[in-house]
Amino acid sequence: MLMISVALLLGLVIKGLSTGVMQEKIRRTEGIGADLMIQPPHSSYILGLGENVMPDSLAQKIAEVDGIEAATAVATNVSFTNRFEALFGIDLPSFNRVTGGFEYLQGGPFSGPYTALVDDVYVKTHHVRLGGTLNLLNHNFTICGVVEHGKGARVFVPLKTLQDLLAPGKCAVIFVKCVSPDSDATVVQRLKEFAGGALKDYQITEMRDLSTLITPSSFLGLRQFLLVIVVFAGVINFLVIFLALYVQVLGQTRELGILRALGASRRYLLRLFLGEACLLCILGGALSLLFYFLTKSIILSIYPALHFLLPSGYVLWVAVIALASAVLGGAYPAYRASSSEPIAALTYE
Amino acid sequence: METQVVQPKIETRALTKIYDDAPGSPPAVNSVSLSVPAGQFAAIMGPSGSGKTTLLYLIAGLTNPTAGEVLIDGVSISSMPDQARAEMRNTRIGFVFQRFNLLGFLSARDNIEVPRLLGWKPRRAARSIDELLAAVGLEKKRLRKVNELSSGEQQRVAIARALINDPDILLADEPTGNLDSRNAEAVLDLMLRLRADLGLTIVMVTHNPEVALRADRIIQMKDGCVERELMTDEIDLSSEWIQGLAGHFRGKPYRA
Repeated sequence: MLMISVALLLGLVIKGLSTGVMQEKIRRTEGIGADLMIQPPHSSYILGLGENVMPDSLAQKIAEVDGIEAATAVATNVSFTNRFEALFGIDLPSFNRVTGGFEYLQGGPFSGPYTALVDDVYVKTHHVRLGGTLNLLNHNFTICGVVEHGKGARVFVPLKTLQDLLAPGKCAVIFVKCVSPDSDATVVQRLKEFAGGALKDYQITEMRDLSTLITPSSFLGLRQFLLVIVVFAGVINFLVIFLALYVQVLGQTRELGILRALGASRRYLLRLFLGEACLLCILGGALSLLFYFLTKSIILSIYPALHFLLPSGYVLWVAVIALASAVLGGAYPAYRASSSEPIAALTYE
Repeated sequence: METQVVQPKIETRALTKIYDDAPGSPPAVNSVSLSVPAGQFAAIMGPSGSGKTTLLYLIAGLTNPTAGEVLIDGVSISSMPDQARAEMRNTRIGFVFQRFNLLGFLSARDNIEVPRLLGWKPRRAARSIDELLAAVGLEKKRLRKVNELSSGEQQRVAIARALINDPDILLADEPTGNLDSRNAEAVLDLMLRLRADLGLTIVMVTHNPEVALRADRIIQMKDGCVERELMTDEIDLSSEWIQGLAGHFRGKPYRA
């Protein structure tokens, strides 16, 4: 039962963690407050993974399109200095116009090129403080402000500084605020026709569609990896149940003979063993859920910035796979038990 | 005048069992035809390898005959599907094994209850476990693991288990074979008392002529065939046959 639960646990934790992190990314991106997001063709919806290849001057021109209230260019990068963390280079005035501005919990806006804003979650998880130093891209940045979380990234630096360090004059994404959120589709059409179709190959995403666009397939190979894990759990489940019941059939041949002699039919023994296989699987599954919540609380106590979300559809899917593998694993031992001849079994030593 | 034909409780017709399929293998039971009327206590005797136990297993439907058939109340059990035969074993036939065949990890009470848990509905109002425990004198040891009981007590548990579904046939394979004389006598007394109380038809395999002589009828087997049959009240105890039946026969038997 423990083996079954451990095999299933692996699938649950990986799925729970990947879905949780993705959902949190979606929430954070949606929290920016923009209505549209413009990216170079074939960019990832996971911000931070995009290339800084768009000229930031585009943002100013886009802001002049009819129906658009404001646009802001953002350069992105991933900082590996401490932990994997998305980093935004922002032009604060235009970023504020699109997002409605930061809520400062401590400190204030950028006070120089090598100053940084961090959100409250970052402060809690990285144990940094206002006035402290952050080493980003091999440069030291002074933390000038702590802001409320939920504006796309956890660390923000001036756009110009990040561009100078990565790609001068370039950005990875342009966030757009429409005059009326209901006119998104019309504005997208206008943007496609903008400047003689200069943006027609660009990726223009309505933010409200983001939750359907960020899926496991957004992470290269994650879907396949999860599939392999579930198949692996199913195989382990099959082997554990097969071996446990087969050993039981061999070890209790005499007892099976006694039951047959007392009136147990082949069908009864078949049901008995398949029932035991299913029961083992159900108990193992319940235990794996218990272990999942235990593992989740342990991981969150170490990495509070991580998020877990276990979709009920996935749990159901894992349960079906586990139950199917349990029935398959129990099938041969059950057949073997049910086909035992009472006399042969009773005389078995 | 009209003659009333009485249906035998148990009947075997040209019953043959060959364990080894190889050509020329001797049959364990060779074309045995006999009938046991309802309420009769029949003892099957014979030397080792004479086919007594195999005959009993065939009557119980625990193994299939190579040829011939077994009829219970005129219905052939040899051609029954497994499901029906299992039900017959559970509800109509009680079986007592020489080696008890109890489930050692269960208590006496739980062992007696096992046939009730196999999914069949008893034909008659179920006998209570406590009633049976009292009948076999084990009510005080009902919760003891059977491994902790003496051989005689274990055999009494096995008898109670055989009777839990109120069968009309009790088959016993040397039920006193593993018991000392005191326990053997107690078990035999119990069987005879239950037979009188419940109207059981009993077929018992035994090596012991003293035990066999307490039955109504003795069927002597040799080389898989019925060699001789006779009612015990017709037996001349001083006859050469009785004297030769077993060297350990110790004198005048008693009747229940």
